[in-house]
Amino acid sequence: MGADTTSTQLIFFIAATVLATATAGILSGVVVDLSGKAALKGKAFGEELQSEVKIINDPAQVPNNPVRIYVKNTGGTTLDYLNMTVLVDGVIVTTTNTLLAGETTFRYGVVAQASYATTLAVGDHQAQIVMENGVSDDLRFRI
Amino acid sequence: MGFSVTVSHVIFGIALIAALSTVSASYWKTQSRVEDARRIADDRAVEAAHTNLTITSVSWSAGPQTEAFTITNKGATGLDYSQFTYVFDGVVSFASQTAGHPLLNSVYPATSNLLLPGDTLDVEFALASEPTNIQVAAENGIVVHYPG
Repeated sequence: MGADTTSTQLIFFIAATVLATATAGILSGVVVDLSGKAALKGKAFGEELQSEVKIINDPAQVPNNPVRIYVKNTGGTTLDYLNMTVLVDGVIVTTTNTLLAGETTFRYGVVAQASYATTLAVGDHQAQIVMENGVSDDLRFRI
Repeated sequence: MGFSVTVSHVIFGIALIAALSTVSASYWKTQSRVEDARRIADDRAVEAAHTNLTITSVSWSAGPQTEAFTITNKGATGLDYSQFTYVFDGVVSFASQTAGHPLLNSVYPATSNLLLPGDTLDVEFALASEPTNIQVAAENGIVVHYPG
């Protein structure tokens, strides 16, 4: 009787300990994973805050056929000019992106050119550029 | 049975403390990074708000085919004029300026790249034809247009 009770209690003890340890292990794993992802998100958000681009076209004289959008990097991070998404009048368009003045990286102060092979109709239009980290700028112009 | 429960609670407690410690460290590090980035973004916004350039004394010389004008910093932000982008009739120009230009506060060669509040910059470019519109973009994206 005594031995049965002791061994039962021992089994319960071991089971409870194993269960608690397993739960604690899973909890720790999840927390570490979440912390890592939160740190990554914070870093990405911080980089986005430091980034800025501006469309510097003259809104009264935007080159047409091809439409050329000039984008200046006015922020503190180097961006990927080849990963620039360009929207004209709300529609994503395919552009040929190049850096001007012989530059090789789209760093602070450098101007990139997005060339859209089309002729826009006379009237009001809007161009928007979005970089790979979400930073964007838009320009309303007249042809 | 009572001891098992106690040990389980102790294990949970230790795991919880370790988890809170990890989360706390990660949170404060992330917050610090975001705070720094936000401060830089705010500084940039303030700098842009205090930027004010003007273009005056625009003149075209038909003989040498040159366009000359003066940029004045009427704002409260110092700017690096070597980072200016010039747009003539909607087209960006990276052409070099004519000999003897630019003049910073009427001095050539300039000993500084800074266009401080109150400074003037005399520039001259050789162009194919007289432009009807001139636009200058500073390094922070603020532009000045002529005619204004």
